[in-house]
Order: sequence, then structure tokens, then C-alpha cells
Amino acid sequence: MSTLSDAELLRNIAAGDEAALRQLYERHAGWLLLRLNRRCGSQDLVAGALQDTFVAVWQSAGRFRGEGEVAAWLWGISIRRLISALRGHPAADPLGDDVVGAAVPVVNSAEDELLRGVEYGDVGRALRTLPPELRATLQATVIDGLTTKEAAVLLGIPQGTVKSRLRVAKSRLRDQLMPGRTS
Amino acid sequence: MTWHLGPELLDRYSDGDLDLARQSAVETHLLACADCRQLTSAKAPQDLLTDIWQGVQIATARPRMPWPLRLLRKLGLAETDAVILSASSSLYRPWLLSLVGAFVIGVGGTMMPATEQRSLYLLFAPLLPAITVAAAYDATDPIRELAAATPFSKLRIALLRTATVVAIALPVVLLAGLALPFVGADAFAWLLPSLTLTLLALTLLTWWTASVTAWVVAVLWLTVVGILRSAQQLSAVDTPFAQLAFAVAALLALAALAIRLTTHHAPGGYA
Repeated sequence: MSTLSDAELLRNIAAGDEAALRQLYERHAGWLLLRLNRRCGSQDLVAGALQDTFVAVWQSAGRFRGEGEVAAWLWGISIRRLISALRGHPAADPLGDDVVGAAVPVVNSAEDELLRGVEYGDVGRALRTLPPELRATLQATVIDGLTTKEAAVLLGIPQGTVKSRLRVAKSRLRDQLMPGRTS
Repeated sequence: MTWHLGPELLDRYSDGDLDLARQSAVETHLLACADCRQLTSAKAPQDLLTDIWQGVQIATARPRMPWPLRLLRKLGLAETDAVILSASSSLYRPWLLSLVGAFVIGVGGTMMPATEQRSLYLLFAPLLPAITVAAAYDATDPIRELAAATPFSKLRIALLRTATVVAIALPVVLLAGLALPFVGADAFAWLLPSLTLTLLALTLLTWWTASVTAWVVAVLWLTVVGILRSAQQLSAVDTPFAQLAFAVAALLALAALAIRLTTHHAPGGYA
């Protein structure tokens, strides 16, 4: 049983296997909860978003496209459930195509390599020099793969501010990492 | 993999004690590394996780539908309709039985010698489905209160139930008729009158209560039988002319029902 991959579990869930949902929950709920806690201080909203996530998985596991990491797919759903809760529409359709369809894995290999190097590399140093609000904007858009609209809800700032902060953050990073090049 | 999350990094991550750059690195790594995900998950508050799981269970708990409904779902029945039907399963089972019973009476009738008794059998068989439609529509429904609060009209529910039984019973009846050589065309003689009476009952239900409708339909049919009997013409029901007349009557009832349904929108139901 425990040797089933995440994608295989999703297939079983799509076929109505409740034990598979349980197994997927045990594998992923913990880290999802911690990561959601890093995005939102309200325990209630986070718990609700996590619950919604697995209800959504139960109802639409068949919509996982079978490409990329299941973990990233799950994160994409749960962060959008959290944003939806923050908007004050916790009862909104948790299964809209916009949610599940948009929840494609946010990590491509280039970003992956870059960010794994963040811990020790130049990018990490450069990131640390940014003011917190710029870093938070980068995190929401680049790490979490959110649209500017979604990031605006998560960060509680207007959409235009997200865009301008993102622009500033990018140009500062560019200056630090590639000095001498002008944009 | 160049590095994994050490115990210290894990603790600091779960405490929210990392700066954004390191936090992002941890999170990116987590997406790609199942081992580190497992270690991280162990740091999450297990009590809360148990609570949330219970919430998931409640939200996903759905009774498994009986196989006839699962079959109809596959054939395109809307989920809300299926839920209504499965909620009233206590009704549709006796109904299915009564329809099958009516067919058995019909088959039994054809195997009897052609006497007046046999004709009487065939004449009473069509009443069964019509009466059961009315009965299902009536106050005996255990989910009546529930159904009244839904945006389903009672007629719609009755129609759904009728359609369910017909969709399931008709193929069975036809197959049985084709497979059994001794079942003559007579066995199907009651099908058209039955359909006509059921449609008539459904149409009348848009005006009257279930009990009144059941009585009116029954009395009407018995009158027809009585007239035929006094004229010594009971076997006339089997003739092509009579069957054609029933078909026309069924179409008329269907048209009347369609008109009632499209022009009269009463939320919560009629009657």
C-alpha cells in the first residue's frame, strides 16, 4: 500500500477510494499546514483552506493532469483556497476550473535550481538585501506562482502596488546579480 | 539533490523563524523531496491535523447510490436528480416491484385460456403503475418535508420517479418478452393503457391532490372496463384499433402535461 506514488493515489481517489484520500492526507497535510501558516496568521482560515483543499481533491482528483509534482499541485490548490477565504468568500465554489486548472506545478526546473541555490548563493544574498515588502511580493508571485491579483489579496495591498513592487524588486535584483547591465 | 533539510532548519521553518530567502529555499526543496516533506509534516500540530481530517471526512461523506441510480447517472442523469431519487429509495423499490408484478400478471394472463377472467386480469394490470405514481406522490413520502423545501416541484419529483422505473423496467420487460417464446403480444397489451393512465395521472396531479387523482383515474378506467364488459367486448383491448386509441390518448396526455409544465411554474410544487 505505502509504495503507491502520489499520482497513483490520485487515480485511486478519482475512482472513489477513501483510503487513498486518507493516505494522501497523511502524506501531505502536515507540510501544507505549516506552509499555509507561513502565509496567514489566522489558524481558522488556514485550517479551513486545508480542509477545502482535500475536499477539492476528493471531488476532482481526476483533473490532475499527471505531469509535475502532486505536491506542487496540492500547494497550488491550497494557497488559492486560502486566498479565496481571505477574500471573504469561503463558501465559493472550491472546484472552479480557474482554481484547479490554474493549480499547475509552480516550479520549473530552472527556478528550482536557482532557488535551491538560494540558501548559499548570490541570489540568497541579493534577496536578503531587499526590504521585507519587496521580498514578500517576490515570494507570492515567484515562489507561490500567484497572479498579481491573487498576490494582492494574500498581501492585503492593491494590485497596482503588487505590480510596482515587483518591478522594483526585479530591477534591484538585476542590479545586484548582473551589475553593469542596464535594462 | 545537493542538500536536505537538517533538524535545525526544520525547527526554524516550522516556528516561522526563517528569513524569506531561506524560507523560500526550504519550500522549493519540499516540493521536490518526499523525504523532507515527511520530516516536515511530523512538525505540524497533529491534533489540528486530526480535526481537519474529520472535517474532510464529513464534507466528503456521501452515501453510495444504489446500482440503478449509478447506471442512470452514467446515462446522464443530473446529480441533484439522482440525490432526490436515492433519498426516496424506500418508495421506488415497492414501485419497481409493482411494475414487475404488473408484468407478471400480464404474462400470467397470456398463459391462461382465453376466458373472461384472463381479460379481467389484463384490464386491471394497467392501473397498478398509475396508482403507485399517485401513491409515491402522496403524503406517505418520508422526505416530503425535505422535498418541499427544495426548489424541486413535487411533480418534477414524481416525473423523475416514473422515468426511473420505466427506464429500468422497460428493457427488462421487453427482453423477457423477446426471450420467452410463450409470451405472446398479448402480454404487452397492458403496456400502452398503463402508460396512458400514468401520464393522465401525472397531468391531473398538476391540478388535484394525489388521493383525488388516484380515485379519478381508477374510477375512469373501471368505467371503461365496465362498459366493455357489459358490451361483452373485453378482449377488444388487444385489438390494434384499441392499442392505437391508447397511443393517441397517451400522446394527448403527454402534450397536456408538457403544456402544464411549461406554463405553470410554481416553486415548491403543485397541489
